[in-house]
Amino acid sequence: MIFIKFVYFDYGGSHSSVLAANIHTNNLSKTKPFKEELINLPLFDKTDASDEGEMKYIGLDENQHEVYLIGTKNGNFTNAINNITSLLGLTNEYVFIGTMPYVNLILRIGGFISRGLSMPFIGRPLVLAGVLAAYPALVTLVERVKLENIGG
Amino acid sequence: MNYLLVGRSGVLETIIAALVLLNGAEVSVEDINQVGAFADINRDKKGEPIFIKADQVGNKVYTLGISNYKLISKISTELARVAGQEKPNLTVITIEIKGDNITYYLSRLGTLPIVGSLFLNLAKQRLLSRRPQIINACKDIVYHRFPNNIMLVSAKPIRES
Repeated sequence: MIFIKFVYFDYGGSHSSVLAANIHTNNLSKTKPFKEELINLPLFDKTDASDEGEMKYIGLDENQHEVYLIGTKNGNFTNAINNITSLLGLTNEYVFIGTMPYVNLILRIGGFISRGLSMPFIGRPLVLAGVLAAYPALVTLVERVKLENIGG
Repeated sequence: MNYLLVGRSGVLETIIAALVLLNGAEVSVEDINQVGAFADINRDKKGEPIFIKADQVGNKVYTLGISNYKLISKISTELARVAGQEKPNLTVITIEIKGDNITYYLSRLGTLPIVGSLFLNLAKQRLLSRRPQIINACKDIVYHRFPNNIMLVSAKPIRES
């Protein structure tokens, strides 16, 4: 069996990618989680500039594939990261999934205030509202990724 | 070995840096104009590495223009580390030269209808007029990266894009 490394990425590696990676590894269920569950996730709304570009290991999925996330400071990065992987000769190792298309305006504003301006006491309530609104779409994304790559 | 020169644009200063890496300090205006991708904004916008040339021993040089260019080296290192690749087949060199922002934004205005070509020509002229400074800056970056002169073979390229 070929083991794939699934890498979810977004701008900061703090919100949508954290959720998607944790849904993929079944750390989060497919039903909307409680806010406390999200806040207790190790990386949720906690990363800073030094974490950007660093691959964070989240865990294994049910088929023993490794799941990572990365903040790329560029939401439209799929093409570039696939090409860089190709130049490294690692095309068959990775599957990259961008989660920025699932980031709504509330999450974007909340994320900027919480991480960009370092004011989580203002930004976090917006972040939580935003991720809960985006949650069903992220679940669908993860299901599609699993179906396309490992047959569910 | 693949070399990827990353900057805000992959078709402006990074092209000169690629030629410095391949040819050493001797980079003429003709050399730059001979690179098919030079000032080609449409190729720049694709976010794909642009193959420039290969040297006689098969080292391939690419450029890439992307907004998060400062992170590419770290991301590449991370991808190799996680995959357990001890000697990555890719060296990423970040090209950041004072004044490159102005040239970049002029080139972006090149996408405007009717007056776009005027701005693109301005960007090209600005880049070529700054050629000696850019070559010196690129030499510094390349020599800093390869202090023991582990550079590409100083030879005429055998392939072009």
